[in-house]
Amino acid sequence: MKNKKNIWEELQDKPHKVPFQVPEDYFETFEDQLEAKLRAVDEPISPKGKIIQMLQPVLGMAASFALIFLFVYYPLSVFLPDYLAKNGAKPTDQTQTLSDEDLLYDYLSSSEQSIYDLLSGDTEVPTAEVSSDEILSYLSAEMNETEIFAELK
Amino acid sequence: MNNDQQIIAELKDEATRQAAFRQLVGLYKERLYWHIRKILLCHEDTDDVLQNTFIKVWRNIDSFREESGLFTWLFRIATNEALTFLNQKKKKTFTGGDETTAYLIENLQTDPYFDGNEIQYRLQKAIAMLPEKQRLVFNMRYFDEIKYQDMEEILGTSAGALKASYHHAVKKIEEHLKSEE
Repeated sequence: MKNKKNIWEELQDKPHKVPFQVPEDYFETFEDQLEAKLRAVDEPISPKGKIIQMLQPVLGMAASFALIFLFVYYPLSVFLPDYLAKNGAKPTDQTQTLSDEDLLYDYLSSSEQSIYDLLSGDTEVPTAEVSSDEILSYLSAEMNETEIFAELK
Repeated sequence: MNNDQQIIAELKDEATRQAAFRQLVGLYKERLYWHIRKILLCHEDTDDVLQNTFIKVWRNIDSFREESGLFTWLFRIATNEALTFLNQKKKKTFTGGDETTAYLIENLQTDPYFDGNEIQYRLQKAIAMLPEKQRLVFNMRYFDEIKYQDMEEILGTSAGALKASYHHAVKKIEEHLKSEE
């Protein structure tokens, strides 16, 4: 009784042909395509192109930081403003989250005025007394004698 | 002077270089194409790698020492280019598992230029599952009948190790095909 051949034995009976094709006219046009690619590769890069090439890594890094900010920091600042505030970072949109008390505290800490000034309604900028000698020494430093004489007249 | 020696001499001469290079491309493009195609299993990738191979040849003509034949020099460049391409593709496309096998089987399944029957498809799939060196040796020996002596120069491995690789590859393919029957 003749044994049935397995796949490997069947393959050995036939020529070892590669079972692939190429697109029509591929080999006929290959030299022309290769020459075009060689020309493109060997073409000198313009100064503008060189600058872009040099800036590419920097631009890439800037884009990465922008993406990190967009995808990590911004959502955090929107969804977890309290957490960021505790850790020293300010939320991006303060008007949405700050209470009146917070706004008042911010105003006072950034202003040179005291709480007393604010409550008393005295919001004028305090001025110091200046003597005439001080005015004269200031003017003499800034002006010549003719100008000082004209001023005093 | 044989044809290869004449081409080499003309390639080294500035005046005849361009024409000689065109002649070289015409002589070797098909053999190199099929060598690369069997490594990558995709026409588009093969076309890219074949062009890069010839660009490398064009740029390195002066460094060709003629210690090896033109044929082995070209095959060595083509093999290195194909394997580098495969490794780059692997890094970009996959994150774990047997990346090369997955990439090659995907190429095989989606190849619009596959022209074989079911048995040939199974054979290609079994080859794709081999380790890199065994895959290379099997393809070069089984389809192209390249001598072990030439393979030695192309792959930088001893003839004995190449024979062993081929033997292991055949065993694995036979087992794989049997398991699918």
